[in-house]
Amino acid sequence: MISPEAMPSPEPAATDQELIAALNAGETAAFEAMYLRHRDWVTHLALRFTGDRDAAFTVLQETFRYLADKFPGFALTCQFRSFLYPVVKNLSLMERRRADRVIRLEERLMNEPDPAETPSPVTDGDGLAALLQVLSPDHREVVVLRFVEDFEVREIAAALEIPEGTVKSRLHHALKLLRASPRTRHCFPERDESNVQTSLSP
Amino acid sequence: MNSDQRPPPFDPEDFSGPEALQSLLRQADQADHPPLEVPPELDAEIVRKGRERIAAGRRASAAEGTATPPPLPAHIEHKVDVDDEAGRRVVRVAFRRRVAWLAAATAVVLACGWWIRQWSEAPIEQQAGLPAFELKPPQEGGPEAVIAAKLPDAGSVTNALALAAEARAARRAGEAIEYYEQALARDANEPTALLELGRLAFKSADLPEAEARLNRLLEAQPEHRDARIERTWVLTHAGKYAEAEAELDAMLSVTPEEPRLISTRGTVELLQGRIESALDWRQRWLATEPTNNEALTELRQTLEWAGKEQELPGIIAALAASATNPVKRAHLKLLHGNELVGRGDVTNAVLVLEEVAATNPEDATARLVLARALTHQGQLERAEALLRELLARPEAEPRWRLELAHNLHHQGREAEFWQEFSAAHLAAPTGGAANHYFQVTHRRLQSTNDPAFTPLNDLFRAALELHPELINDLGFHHTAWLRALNAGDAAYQNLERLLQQGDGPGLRLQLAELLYGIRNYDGALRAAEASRRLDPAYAPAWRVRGLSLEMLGRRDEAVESYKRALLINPTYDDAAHNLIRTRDKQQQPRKSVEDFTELIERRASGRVSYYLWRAYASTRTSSAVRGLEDIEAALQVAPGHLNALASQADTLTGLGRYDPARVAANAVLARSPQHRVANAALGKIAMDFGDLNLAEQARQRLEAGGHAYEAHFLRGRIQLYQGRFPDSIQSFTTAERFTPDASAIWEYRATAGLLGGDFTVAHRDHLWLLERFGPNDPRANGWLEHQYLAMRGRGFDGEAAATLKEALSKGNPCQWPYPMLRMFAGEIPPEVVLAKSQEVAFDMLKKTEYWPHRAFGYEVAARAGIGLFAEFEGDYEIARTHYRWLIDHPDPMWREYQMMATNRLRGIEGRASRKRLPTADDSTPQAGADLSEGLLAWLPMTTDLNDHSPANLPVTVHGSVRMENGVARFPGDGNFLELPHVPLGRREFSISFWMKSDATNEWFSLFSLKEANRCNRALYLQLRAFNELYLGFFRDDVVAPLAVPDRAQWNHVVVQYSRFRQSLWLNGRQLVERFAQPLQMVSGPFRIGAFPPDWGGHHEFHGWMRDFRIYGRALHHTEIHELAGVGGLLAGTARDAGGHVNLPEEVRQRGALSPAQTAVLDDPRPFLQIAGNQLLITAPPVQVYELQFSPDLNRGWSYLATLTNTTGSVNYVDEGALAEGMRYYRVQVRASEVEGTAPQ
Repeated sequence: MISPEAMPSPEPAATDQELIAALNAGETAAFEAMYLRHRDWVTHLALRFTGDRDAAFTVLQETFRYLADKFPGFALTCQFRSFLYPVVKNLSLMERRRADRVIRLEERLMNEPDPAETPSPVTDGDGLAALLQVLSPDHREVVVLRFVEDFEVREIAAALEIPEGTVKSRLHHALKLLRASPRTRHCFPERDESNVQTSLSP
Repeated sequence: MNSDQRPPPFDPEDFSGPEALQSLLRQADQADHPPLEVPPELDAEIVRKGRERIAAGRRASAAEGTATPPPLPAHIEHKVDVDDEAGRRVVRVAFRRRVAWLAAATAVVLACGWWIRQWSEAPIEQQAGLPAFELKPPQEGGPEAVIAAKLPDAGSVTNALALAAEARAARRAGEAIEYYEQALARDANEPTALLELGRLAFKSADLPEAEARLNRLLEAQPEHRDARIERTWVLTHAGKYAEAEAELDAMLSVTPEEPRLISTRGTVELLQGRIESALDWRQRWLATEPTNNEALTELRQTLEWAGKEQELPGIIAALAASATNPVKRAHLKLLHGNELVGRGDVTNAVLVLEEVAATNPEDATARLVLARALTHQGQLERAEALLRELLARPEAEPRWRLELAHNLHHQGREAEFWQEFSAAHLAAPTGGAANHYFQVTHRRLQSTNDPAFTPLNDLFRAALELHPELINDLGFHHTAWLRALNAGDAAYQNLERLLQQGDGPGLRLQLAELLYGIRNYDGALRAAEASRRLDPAYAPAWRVRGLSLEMLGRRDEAVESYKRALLINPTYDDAAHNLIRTRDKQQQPRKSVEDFTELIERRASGRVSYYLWRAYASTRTSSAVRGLEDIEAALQVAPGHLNALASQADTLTGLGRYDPARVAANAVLARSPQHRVANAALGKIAMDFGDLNLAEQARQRLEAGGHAYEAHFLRGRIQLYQGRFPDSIQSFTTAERFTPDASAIWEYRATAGLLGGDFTVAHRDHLWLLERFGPNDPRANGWLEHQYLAMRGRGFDGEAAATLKEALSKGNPCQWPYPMLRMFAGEIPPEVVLAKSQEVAFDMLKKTEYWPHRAFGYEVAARAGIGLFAEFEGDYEIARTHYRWLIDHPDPMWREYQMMATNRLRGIEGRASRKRLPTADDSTPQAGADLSEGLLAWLPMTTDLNDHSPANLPVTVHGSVRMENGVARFPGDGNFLELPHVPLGRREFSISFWMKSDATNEWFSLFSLKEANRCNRALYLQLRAFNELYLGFFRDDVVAPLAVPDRAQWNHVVVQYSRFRQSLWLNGRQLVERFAQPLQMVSGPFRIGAFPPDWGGHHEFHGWMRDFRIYGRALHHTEIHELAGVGGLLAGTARDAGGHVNLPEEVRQRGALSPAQTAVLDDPRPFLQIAGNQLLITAPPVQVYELQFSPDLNRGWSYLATLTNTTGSVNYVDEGALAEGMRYYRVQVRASEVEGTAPQ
C-alpha cells in the first residue's frame, strides 16, 4: 500500500486566470473547477443579499449562467471575486424585487388587502445587521467586504466600481462609528489619547 | 477651524481593523446565514448548463467570425497582416480552392467536344505563339513607396514635358502634374505646361485653378488659340456665360467652322436654358465633325433634355441630306443607319447602309456597319462574308474582328467565335474588347453554365504581356471581371501581381474596393488616396476615399471627398447617395441641402443634376415644396429631362397633387416605359388611390427593368393595403437588401407592424427612425406616437411612459399628432383629439391642391390610434366603437386601417369586458344545446386535416402531418398543424382531443397558443417524461397529479378554463383544477402538436390525434364524458364523486372503455384543487397523504405536510407559497383504506 507521503504531490491548482484562459480556449471542463471554487462564496453572498435559501440558489444558477455567457472572449481585469461581487449583488436584488412583485401580485389576485410595509431590518440581537446598524448602507457594504469577506481595498474598489480613496474614506469613517457604537466598542483597544494629542501637537 | 474639529488624519493601520471586530462580524454573519449546502443535482445542472453555454458561445463566435477582426468574406479562408522586409504592409490571403469551379469547368469541357476541350486546356500563350507567361520580380520598394516618393528631377523643361506626356499616356495624371510643375519651376511661362495644367485642373473640377493657369498663359501670349478655347470652356462650366459667349463669338467670327468653338457655344446655350438654340449648335457641330462620337452624344443628350430624343434619326438624315461634303454626307448616313439599328429599325437601317456601301465600295466603315445591321437582321451568312472580305483588306483593323466574333456567336459557332475574339483582344485589348468580356462571360454562363474562367483569365494575362503599357486599363478590367464573377480571392491575387509590375489609378481603385469589401478600411483609404493622387480627376477614387473615411469615423472629410467626386462628375449618383447618407448619420440631414447649394455655386454646368439632388435632399427633410422649386429650376434648363420629370412626378405625389404628378409620370413612361422613378411615383399614386391594377402594372415594369428595391417596396405597399401585414413586412425586408437608404422602408414596415399587431417590428423600426433622424425631425411626432403604441403593445409600459414624457417635452405642440400624445398622457379626452384631427383635415381641404381623401386620413389614423390605446388600457368598449367606425367608413385610400380594425375587433371579441366575465363564485358550466355549440375550431381528422367548424379556419400543415387510417399522423420533429389566432384571451374555453403516441418517454407539445409580442404569455399543453401532463397557463402553470397511464393507447384530454379556474381532464376525469387569471392574449397562431414559433427546439408531437375541438365556452362535465366516450357512465364531476368513480362492472366487461380510460377512472388517488396557496384534497376516506411541493420542477419535490383525510376532503393553506411566488404541488398516498390505493 502506498502511504500518503509516497504519493506524488498533486498538481498546483490552476489560478482563476488560467481557468479563464482554458475556458476561452474552449476547454469547458475548466468550468466545473471554476464553479466548485467559487460556489460556496457565491451562495453565501447571495443568501446574505436575499435572505432566502431558494433565492440564493437561483442567484447561484444565474451567476454562473451569466459567467458562462461571457465565453469566449472574457478578459478578467481584476480579481475574480471583485468581478463576481457586483454580479451576485445585482442578481440578488433582482431576485428580491421579483419575489416582492410576485407576492404582491398573488395577493392582489386573491383580492386580499395590500401587505403592510416591508418589515424593517432586524435591529435587535447579535446579528450582523444589528451590529452594523449604526452605519449607512454604503459604509456597511465596505465593512462587510473588508472584515467579513476579507477583500483588499483595491478589490473592494473594483467590486464596487469606486475609487480606492473612496473605499478608504468609507472604511475610516465606518470604523470611527463602530468604535463609538456600544455594540462594537469593546472590539477596539483603548486609545492612548495623550499620545494622540502629543503626536498631533506641533 | 481648530485642530479638534478637523477630521483625524488618515491612518493606514485603521483599515485592517481590530481582529476582535473582524471575528465578531464573521461570527454574526455565520449566525445569520449558516452555510448552505448546494444540492448535488443543482451542482450538476449548473455545471452542465454552463459547459453547454460555453460550447454554444464558442460555436456562435466561430460562426460569426468575430475572433479575427475584420470579418472576411466567405470565400477567404484566412488573412494575416504582416510587415515585410521592405516595410510594406503586405496582405497575404489564403484562398479556399474552388472545387465547384473545377467541376463545372470539367463538365463544360466534356460537353463541348474534343477540340474545344483541346483549346481550353492549352494556354492561350501557346495558341497565340507567345512565350509562356512569367511573373516579373516585384519592384524594389513596392508601388506604394514609388507613389509616396517624390518624382526624380526631370533635368530640363523638355525632359519634364516629355515625362509628363508619358505619364498622361499611362493614365497617371498626378505624375504629369508634377512634371509640368517642374517645367514651370524652370520656366514660369512655359506655355505647354500652363495649358496642360489648366486642362488637368479643369478635369479635376478645380475651375478657379484652371482659369488662373489659362489667364497666366494668355497674359504672356494673348493670342494663344488653344488657351482661349480652353478658357471659354472653363468659363462656361463656371457659369460665366456672358464672358464666355463674347469670347466665343469673337473667335467664331474668325473661324466659324472650328468644332471646339461650336461645341462650347452650344453648351453655353444649353446651360442657359436656351434649348432650341443649343440644338441648332449641336446639329451644326455634328454636321461639321460627323466622325466625332462626342458630337453625336451631345446632340443625343440635348435632344433628351428637350424631350425630343425620338427625332434623332430624322435630324441625322436631314443633316446628311443637306451636307455638301460627300465624305461627311456618307458618314452622316452611316450614323443614321447605325442609329436605326440601335433603335431596332433594322430594315430601314439596312436600306440606308446598303445605299452608302454601294456608293462607296471602298468605305470599310460603311460595310462594317452594314454587316452589323445584317447580323441584327438575321442575315448572318451575308454579314459574315462581308466581314471576312473586310478583314482580308490590308488596312483591316483588329476591332473589326469583334464584329466577326459576334456574328459567329449568333451563328452558334462558338469555337470560331473564341478564336476571333481572342485575336481581336490580343491585337487591341482596349479597343472595346475588354468591355466585351462581361458580355462574353455572361453569355457563356447563360449557355453552358461555364464561367469561362480559365481561357479568359489567360487571355487577359497574355494581352498584358503583349501590351504592358496598358496595365492600368487591362488590370482594371481584369480585376473587375474577376469580381463580377464573385472571385474576390483570385481578383486579389491578380491585383497583387499586377501592382508588382506597374501602377495606375484604376488598379489602386480596384484594390481600394476589394479592401473596403473585406472591411479593411485603413487599407482601402490608403489605396484610394494613391488612386486619386495618380489621377486627381478620377471621381470613383474620391468616392471610395469618402467611403473609407466614413467607416473610419471621419465623416466631415468623407463629405468633402464625396463633394469632390460630384464636382468632377455631377451625374455620379452613388456619390450623391453617399453624401446624403453621411449627413443623415451625422444627424444633420438638412446640411446635405447646403452641400448641393455649394456644388451649384462651384460648378454651374452640373446644376441640373445638383438641382435634382438638392430637391431629393429637401424632400427628405420635409421641404417638398422647396424640392419642387428645384425640380422646376432643373426643368427650366432641360424641359424634357427624364429624371427631372420623374422626380417632379414623385414630389408632386408626395405633396398630394396627383393629377399633375400622373401627367408627369406618364410623360416619362411614354418615352421610357421602365423608368425607375416614374414607375415608383405612379405606383405611389396608384396605392394612394387604392388602384391595385395600376400599382401592379408599375411593379411589373419595375421588376422587368431590374429595379429590385422599388419593385419589392411597391409589393410591400400593395400587401399592406390588402391587409396582408406579415407578407408586407417580409416584402419590405426584402426591399431593404437592395438599398443603402432604408428609412422609407422603416416607415412603412413600422406601419405594417403596428397595424398588423407585430409590435416588435414597429418598435424596432421606429427606434431606427428616431435614432437616425432624431426627435427634432418634423416627422418625429408621428413616430413617437406610433412608438408609444408599439411599446404598449409589447407590454413595455414603463418605457412607453418614458417615451411619452420625452415626446411631450420635445414634440412640436402645433403639429399633428401632438394632440394624440396629450391624449395618451390623459391630458385631453379622445373627443378633443378627433375634433383636432378634423380641424387639421379642414385646413388641408382649404388647400385645393390637396386631395380630400388625404385629409380624411387624419381622422382615420386618429381613430386607429385611439382604438389601440383604448384596447391597451382595457377600455374595450371605446376601442370597439372606433374600430367599428373604421369598418363602417371604408375608404379606398385607407383600406389597411379598415383591415387593421377588423383584425383588432376580432382579437378583442374574445376579451369580454370584466363585467361580462363570470366570477369565481358562479356555478359550474351549463351544457350547450349540443356538442357543436360554441365551436371555434373543429378538426375531426377522420378524412382530412381541415377545420369543419362554422369559422372554417385555414389550417396550415407544416411538414408531413397526414391522414393515416382515419386519424392524423404527426411524425415528430418539424411536423405540426397551425391555425390562425383563436381568441381565447379573456373568455371561457375548452380544448378537447384524442391522442396516442409511439414515442416512449419523450416530451413534446400537444398544442400551444402564444401572444406574438409577449415573451411568456402562452397557453400550452405538453406531455413530459413519465407521461406527466403539464399545462402552461401564463403565470398559472399546473402539472397533472395523475400521469397518463399508457401513452400508446388512445387518451382523451380536455383543457378547460372557466370561472377563473383552469382544469385538466383525462379520459373524462378531472385531474386538477387551479385558480388562474385569464390569459389576455390577442394574437399569435394556434399550433397543434408544436410549441409557439419563437421558442426554439424541436419538441413536436410524435403520434396520432383525432377529433381536435376548440370551444369558446366551458363544457359541462356530461359533455366532456360524451366526448371522452364515457357518456352516461359517469354521474357528476370528479369532484362530486370524491375523485373516485366506480364503474359498473358490466360496463367494464362490455369493453366500452379502453384500458387507458379504465385505468384513469378506476384510480382512487386523490384529486387536488389549488387556489393560490389554498389546497383542497378530495378522495374517498380514509387516506393519509404526504403533500409535496416544488418551486421549480427542475429542483425535485420537497415535503410540505402530512394530512389525513377522514371525511372525503382535507384543506391545507401553504404559507410558504406567498414568499416564493409560485409552487407546484403533488400528493402522495402514504396509507389508505381504499381498495386499490397502494401507499407509495
